[in-house]
Amino acid sequence: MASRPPLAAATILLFVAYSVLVYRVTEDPQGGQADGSVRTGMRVWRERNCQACHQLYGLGGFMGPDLTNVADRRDSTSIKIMIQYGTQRMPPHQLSGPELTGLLAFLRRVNSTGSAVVPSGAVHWTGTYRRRAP
Amino acid sequence: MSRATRVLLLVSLLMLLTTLAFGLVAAVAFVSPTIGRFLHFEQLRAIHVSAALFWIIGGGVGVTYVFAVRVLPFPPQPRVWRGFVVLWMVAVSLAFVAYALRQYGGREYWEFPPSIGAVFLAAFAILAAAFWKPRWAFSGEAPAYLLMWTTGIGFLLTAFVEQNLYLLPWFGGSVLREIAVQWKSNGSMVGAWNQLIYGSSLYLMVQLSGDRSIAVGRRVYLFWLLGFTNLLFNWGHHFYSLPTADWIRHVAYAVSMTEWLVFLDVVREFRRRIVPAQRSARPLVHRFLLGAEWWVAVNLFLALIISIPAVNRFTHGTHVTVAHAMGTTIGINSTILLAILGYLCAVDGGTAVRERVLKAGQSTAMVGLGVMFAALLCAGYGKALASPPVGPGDPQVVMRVVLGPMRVVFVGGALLLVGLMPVILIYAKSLLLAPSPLWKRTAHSEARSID
Repeated sequence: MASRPPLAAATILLFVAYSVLVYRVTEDPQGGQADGSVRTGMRVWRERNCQACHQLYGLGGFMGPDLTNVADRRDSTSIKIMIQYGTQRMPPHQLSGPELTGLLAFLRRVNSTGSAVVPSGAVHWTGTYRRRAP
Repeated sequence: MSRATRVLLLVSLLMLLTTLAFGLVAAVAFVSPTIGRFLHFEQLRAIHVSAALFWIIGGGVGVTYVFAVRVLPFPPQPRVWRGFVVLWMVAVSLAFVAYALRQYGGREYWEFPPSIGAVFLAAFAILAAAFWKPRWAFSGEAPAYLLMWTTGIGFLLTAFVEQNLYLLPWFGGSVLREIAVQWKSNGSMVGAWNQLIYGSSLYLMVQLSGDRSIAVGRRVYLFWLLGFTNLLFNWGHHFYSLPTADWIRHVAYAVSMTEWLVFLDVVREFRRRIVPAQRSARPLVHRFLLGAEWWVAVNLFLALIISIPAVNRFTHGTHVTVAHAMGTTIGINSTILLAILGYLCAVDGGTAVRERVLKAGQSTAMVGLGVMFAALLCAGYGKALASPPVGPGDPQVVMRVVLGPMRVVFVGGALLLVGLMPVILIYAKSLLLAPSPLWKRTAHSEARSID
């Protein structure tokens, strides 16, 4: 395969260019960067390993429900109670005031990015679907 | 085989045992809330998934090193190799200390605090510096396994760096970007270790058959390029449902469908590969390789189906994904690694009792994996019916539906542990106590006879 080095180099360059493009377009719809409270919530999400049991956009563990749009389904008070006191399967989490506020802000931010459910109208006959205009 | 390599492979086998044991305990915590209240599921899962990664990556790198020193004109310096092994051990130990103390902070599969990631980064960097010799891999008639090892090691480092980009404010400050980059890099990481393991598997098949031509030629290079392209561009199927630009989804869909070529080749070649296995002087090694071949076909078929976005719409976020993950990491990666380790430990040619134990262990493990795989598919099907867009998505209903199959998953996992335990112990004993004549071959003797 005499043309291997140029072929490999071209593929890697394409990968780099494609990666940069993906980084640029995968921005939250509201634009800009998350504020301090949301970032606190992101940190708490990781430090408490919430992803071990919960999913965001279907990605994560399956012990608990997908929380992408929980901020739409439940009010802040009931979410706070579940976090602080737990459920049959979920342990209680003792969080400080700013941590709890941050976690709620994070879940609201996730909710505002879109729905985890793909509507049937978005499905194309080729098997793919459209979620957002390019 | 150097002491450092033996230690790395022994610790990797320990990681396999840890994966199996903690997976089983996590399954207990899942199916029994009463017992689960005394266990910490987030801790069990973290240990289970990280141990799986450490087994696959550590084992994959270890066997690649054993083979690479036989064929590379200038193999990695022993001191540098020892440096990698030491750093890897330190990083893995720190990760488990963090888990024992329930300290997290990382992303999925690497849940330990990000500061420990610096040690992993140093390990991957040293590995790349020691190993990465692209001019050998890309020149002339270099066998395809050299290509695979080169791309595998290079992208272990690249993917790990990308996995930690979320620590930079620009990446971590956007929810969609953070999720997309995480699962983009996770896909590349899987592709990287696949390149390593498939490369070593190809080298093993050259050794078993004595036929070097299977590692050179247009066909094998085309399949390498297909695998490499999938490593680079096929991660998009992890987040089809993410509301990002549609072209990311369309590209991932198109690249995913190229794997039908691989699937058709596996099916076509399968019968041809059974014959050498039956006549082989290394029947145990071949049993593992054939098992892996079978699981490649099954998992590839499942992966191709769930890579169709319209199907993925239902299966994403269900246990069908878990079936895919378990089927590939156990059925393919682990089975190939166990075949290679079996070859290095010269398991064939032992006593009749040991041969029966290994055969029974391997068969039990494959049955266990099959039970687990089928049960996960059933759980996933049930969850899909109970979840949007089909069902209401009530968590209580979903859990009621999946509990039954998950109890069967536990049984499958138990069979897997029972089956692989004697295999792990026999391999570990061989690595500790009984040097194999295969270890004594040097780069020069092997290079002259094969390359």
